[in-house]
Amino acid sequence: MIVSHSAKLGEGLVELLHQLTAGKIHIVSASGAGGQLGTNPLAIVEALNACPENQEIAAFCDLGSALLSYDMARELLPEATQSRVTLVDAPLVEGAIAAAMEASLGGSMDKVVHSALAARDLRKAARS
Amino acid sequence: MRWPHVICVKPHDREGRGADIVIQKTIVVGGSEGIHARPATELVRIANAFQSIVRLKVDGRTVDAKSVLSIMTLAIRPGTEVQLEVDGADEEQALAALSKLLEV
Repeated sequence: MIVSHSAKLGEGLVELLHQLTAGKIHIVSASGAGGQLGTNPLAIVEALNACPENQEIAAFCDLGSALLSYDMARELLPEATQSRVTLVDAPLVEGAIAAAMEASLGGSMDKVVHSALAARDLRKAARS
Repeated sequence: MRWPHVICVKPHDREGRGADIVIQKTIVVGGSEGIHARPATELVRIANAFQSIVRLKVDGRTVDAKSVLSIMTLAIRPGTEVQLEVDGADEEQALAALSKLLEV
């Protein structure tokens, strides 16, 4: 699940993730607030409740303030759902990409989270 | 073998088990979308299906093709020349499968 202050950013990232994973995993964006920039706890609740049952969910946020909405949303969830969601403290785009790819390859939640966290140190521009 | 490839022979290791052979193939990436499309995850998936070590060399940089994070750092577009390097018991099959994926 992607939580961004920008609905466009969230949707765009979901689109990219779907292409990278060939539609093999459930990906959702709970981004923007009422057509404006911002985040909305109720949209997050809805997105989480719509995720496939019995499956684990990795959540990504863009800014610290998105975490406030996420935390509020989490408290509104049934306990069974709460235990399936993990907020991953990684960069939104690179973390979500790493996580989505690992998940689509059948990785465990541990592997998914580990890869996403390692994305913090990803260097794209370095030349060996 | 139908495709041109370079065979690189590694020196004998310390236990004297004999020379190891790494096979390499230079391919031009095909397709219209480059590595951000389906092939990125497929590449990692296929590489992981084989026992062999699989490396991709692009523009002076070598990455482990079995690693999601490594593949994410690559800058590959259609027409980019890459070198596939494979070493292991199933290296021929790995090379064939990966060439097929990337050249399409």
